[in-house]
Amino acid sequence: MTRTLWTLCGLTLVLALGGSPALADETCQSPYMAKITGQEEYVYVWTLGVQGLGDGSDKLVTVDVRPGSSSYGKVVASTSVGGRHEAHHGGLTDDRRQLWVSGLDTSKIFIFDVAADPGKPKLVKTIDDFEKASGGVVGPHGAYALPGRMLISGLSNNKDHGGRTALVEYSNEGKHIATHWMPTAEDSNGAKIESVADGYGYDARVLPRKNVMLSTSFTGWSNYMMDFGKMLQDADAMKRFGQTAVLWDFHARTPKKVFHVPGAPLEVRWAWGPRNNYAFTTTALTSQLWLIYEDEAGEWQAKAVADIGDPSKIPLPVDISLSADDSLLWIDSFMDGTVRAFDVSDPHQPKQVYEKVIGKQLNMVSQSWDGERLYFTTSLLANWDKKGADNEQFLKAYDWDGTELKHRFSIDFNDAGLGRPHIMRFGAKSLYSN
Amino acid sequence: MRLRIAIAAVLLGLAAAMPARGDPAAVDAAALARIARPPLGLPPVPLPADNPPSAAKIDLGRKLFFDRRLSHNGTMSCAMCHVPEQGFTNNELATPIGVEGRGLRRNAPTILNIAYQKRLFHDGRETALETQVISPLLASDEMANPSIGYVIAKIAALPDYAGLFERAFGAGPTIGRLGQAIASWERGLLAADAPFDRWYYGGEAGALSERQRQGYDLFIGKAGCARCHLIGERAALFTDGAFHNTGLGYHADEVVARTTAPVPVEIAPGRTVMLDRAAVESVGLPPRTDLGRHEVTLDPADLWRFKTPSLRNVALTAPYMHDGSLRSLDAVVRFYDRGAVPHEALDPMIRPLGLGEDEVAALVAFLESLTSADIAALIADARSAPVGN
Amino acid sequence: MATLAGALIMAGAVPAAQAHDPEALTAGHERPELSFGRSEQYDYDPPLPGSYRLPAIKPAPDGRVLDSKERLHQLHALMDGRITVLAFIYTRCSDPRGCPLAISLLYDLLFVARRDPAIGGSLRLMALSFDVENDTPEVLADYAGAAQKDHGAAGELLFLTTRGEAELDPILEAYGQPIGRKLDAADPFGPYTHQLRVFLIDPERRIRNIYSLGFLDPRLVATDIRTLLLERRGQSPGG
Repeated sequence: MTRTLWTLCGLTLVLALGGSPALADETCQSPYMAKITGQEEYVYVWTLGVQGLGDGSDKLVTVDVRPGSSSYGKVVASTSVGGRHEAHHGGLTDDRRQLWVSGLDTSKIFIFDVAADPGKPKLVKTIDDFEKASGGVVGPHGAYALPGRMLISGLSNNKDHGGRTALVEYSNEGKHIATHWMPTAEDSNGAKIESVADGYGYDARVLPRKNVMLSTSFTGWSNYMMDFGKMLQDADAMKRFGQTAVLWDFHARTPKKVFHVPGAPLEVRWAWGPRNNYAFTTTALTSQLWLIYEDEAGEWQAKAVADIGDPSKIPLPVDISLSADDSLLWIDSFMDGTVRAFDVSDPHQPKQVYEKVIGKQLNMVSQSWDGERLYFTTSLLANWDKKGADNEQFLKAYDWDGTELKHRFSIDFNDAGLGRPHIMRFGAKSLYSN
Repeated sequence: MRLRIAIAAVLLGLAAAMPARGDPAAVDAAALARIARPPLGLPPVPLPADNPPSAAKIDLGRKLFFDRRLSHNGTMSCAMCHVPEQGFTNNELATPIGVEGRGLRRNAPTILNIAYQKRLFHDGRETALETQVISPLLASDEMANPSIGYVIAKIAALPDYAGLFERAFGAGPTIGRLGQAIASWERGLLAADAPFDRWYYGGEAGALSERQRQGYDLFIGKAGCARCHLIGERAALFTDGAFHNTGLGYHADEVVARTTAPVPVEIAPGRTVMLDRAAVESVGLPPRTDLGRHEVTLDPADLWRFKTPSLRNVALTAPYMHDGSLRSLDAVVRFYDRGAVPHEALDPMIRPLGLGEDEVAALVAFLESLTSADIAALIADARSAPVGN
Repeated sequence: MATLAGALIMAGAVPAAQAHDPEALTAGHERPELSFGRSEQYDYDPPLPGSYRLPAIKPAPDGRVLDSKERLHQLHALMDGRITVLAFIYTRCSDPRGCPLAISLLYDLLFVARRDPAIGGSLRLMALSFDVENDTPEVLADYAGAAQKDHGAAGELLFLTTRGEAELDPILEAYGQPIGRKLDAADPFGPYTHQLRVFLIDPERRIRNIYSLGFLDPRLVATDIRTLLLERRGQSPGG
């Protein structure tokens, strides 16, 4: 059995465990959370149901990735939640005992126990009053672990299904704690506004060392639920995309500065190095890599540092993953089904060093703690995914040897009657050695 | 004495215009008062004999209108497409998005002054407000309920509806009563008393600017707008309630559907790229045709005909046309100035107008004079109901 | 033994914070916690006390605990009327990023409390062990003695344990403090895995904040304590 280690992340201590320096992480996780530092054993895939395919319901799919296992690379569990909710993102609690996954459409949050049997997650609670409890937030998106609680970024609201939204906090027990509305021009909540403050939301991540949080902005329910082709031709709808990133005083939960980042900035990744006071984000529509950093005067700034592919073709970069040593940034783009690796050792001057077409369409990327294994899924949103033969739906696993991605296994989610695979999270039995 | 009456009238007027939020009785009373005595510029409200308005019905209708639980999966209320702050339509979309993101073909019409519409929907397929509500409840691309019985049973089981139908109708929920309640609230959304009304019907000479008066002259004269957007002697609905072919339907079904030209996509404010149509089509469902009034009558003469919309509050209800394809009043005026989309079945009243730049601006200014003074009160009325989740 | 007696004397000596000027809660130069300063790990200035809300997370669960003099207490009785900082620890933990960090935080807060009566009179500091096998009252007494020597403080910090798993497990479960046994019982850092958690509890016995690694900055915790004191006086928006 491959050894699995765990520690608390966000730290750069070299722990004397198994000779393995705890440098990296499964790079998309909250710094407050327990991490798998060795071999991940399961990949949990939050999957959108497709009408007419299997039971048509959203489901949590568990894939065995234990090397040498007889079911390696196979689906070992699948739990439907009943109905389609626009399954999208989710995250593990800080103690890694629960996986919270949410539906952007119905605003339901499904809580799975992944500790009792990591190979067979069990649905233990459904939060179905998110809109009411939060005071009108629609579209729970990320679920980001904070100590004893979850931070959930919304995407929309129940007044007009537009992009104005909030960050919502829940206790690990599933009780609403607080709602923080995004700053707008009318209600800036004291934030300094560079150009506009649209009040939109997408991702929210914390750099505890600097007591700052960074949030980004996508679009409201009407757009993320709409047929993508229709939306591209609706000039009004195209006006309703986020163009801001907000820097917050995390402890006080108050916005400090609203950066102008046009073109829908999505995923945020803070650098891990103890002196690396910066984060990356990519803009989906304008296909740019942005750096948000603290300058020498202690002021936070945002600037575009690279193009991703040919922006005039709208490759639509959608997910990113930063290696543990802050040197390599993986960027998935949806329209061209391509992953690109940028050398970001100098964050101000990223250089593309590798690219590979993974499929006809591509969305999420997750990498292991040591950066040696990468996993990819395809689905962006039910109504944004490609149509017809281009609608490939898969999980693909690769090894990264430092120069090349080498295919390990694929699971075709269409053939398996599962649906549209979206976010991935890792599990391991030895986290819960009790 | 006279002064005291005048002051009382002013106070009453204020109370009617801006009812205090959180005082449902005052909000309902103001709505009933509007229905009994519509604002300046509107004719008497036609009321069905079997559904006289009442405060209890208005209250219930408003609650139903804002209740997202009326859709199959709890995501769509009537108000998600008829947003009070957006002219009781949706300014952010050409055509609305229904349950599970299914796209509709036509722009959401405003429900302001809907009380006067004799035929409802862009194709006029429905004849009464009371029954109009059934179609969106069941349409798979709108609220997508499996059946009417399902909706009624769901409402009957919701604790916050306990006793409300009984209070309004003396009997429990049925689809008929649900329609009557929503229609009763909608009838009170009367919005007139615009600068135009005060000038035209109120005799207030200064209510319109010189440019707006120039626009009015063009509207009834050279531009010919008033031939379909009627202005009456005592009141104006700015519609003939009839169906016309502007060529937009023909254009969408016969021209756009066959083009291979790249699609302009604004990826950020002021930044537009020309995207290959093949790329757009790879992520889009094929367009659906929209034959307009023809879909109701099956009469070939009705192909691509759509109902003339009212122009009241038109400055608040962008985007425009049955498909939401024009984004500003300026674009609409220029569209008609060009003679719309010439083709064989184009309405014969439509022809190139030969307007100068100044005239385009004057027409737009006139259209902006049709915005009611009491919109804020109607928004406050609407938002006095909590969003049902 | 000095530990508990000291805590009780401290608790009784200064009845409440109201005797003090609100300036003492907010003015920078009078906040002794600021003397800890910025560090590489906590590289920011904490927000002003009372400039933000600390929404209630949940009621602080009760439970029966044993002090280092083998006296039984209800957790709620120990919390009553004061602001409590409660850490779950075990003395065999030697992970430099584990329990020692939580203990160190408690002593830092003790330092603040001793220099600022506004805080000192209202604060209860508790470390509750989840290692019933090893952490007997006697072991805790020794540990407390050694810790006090290390931190140069006299005993106003309560070290607590339980009579057994039957009383411990419901407390851990209710607080959401998962504990696991490591596969390697001889692990040099100690036999348990646990998510380091420290709880801030208000006088009404509601959990108002939860701290873990990356968050155990005495300046932040002290600022939260001041925020709760201000809220009690109606000078902060509250939870």
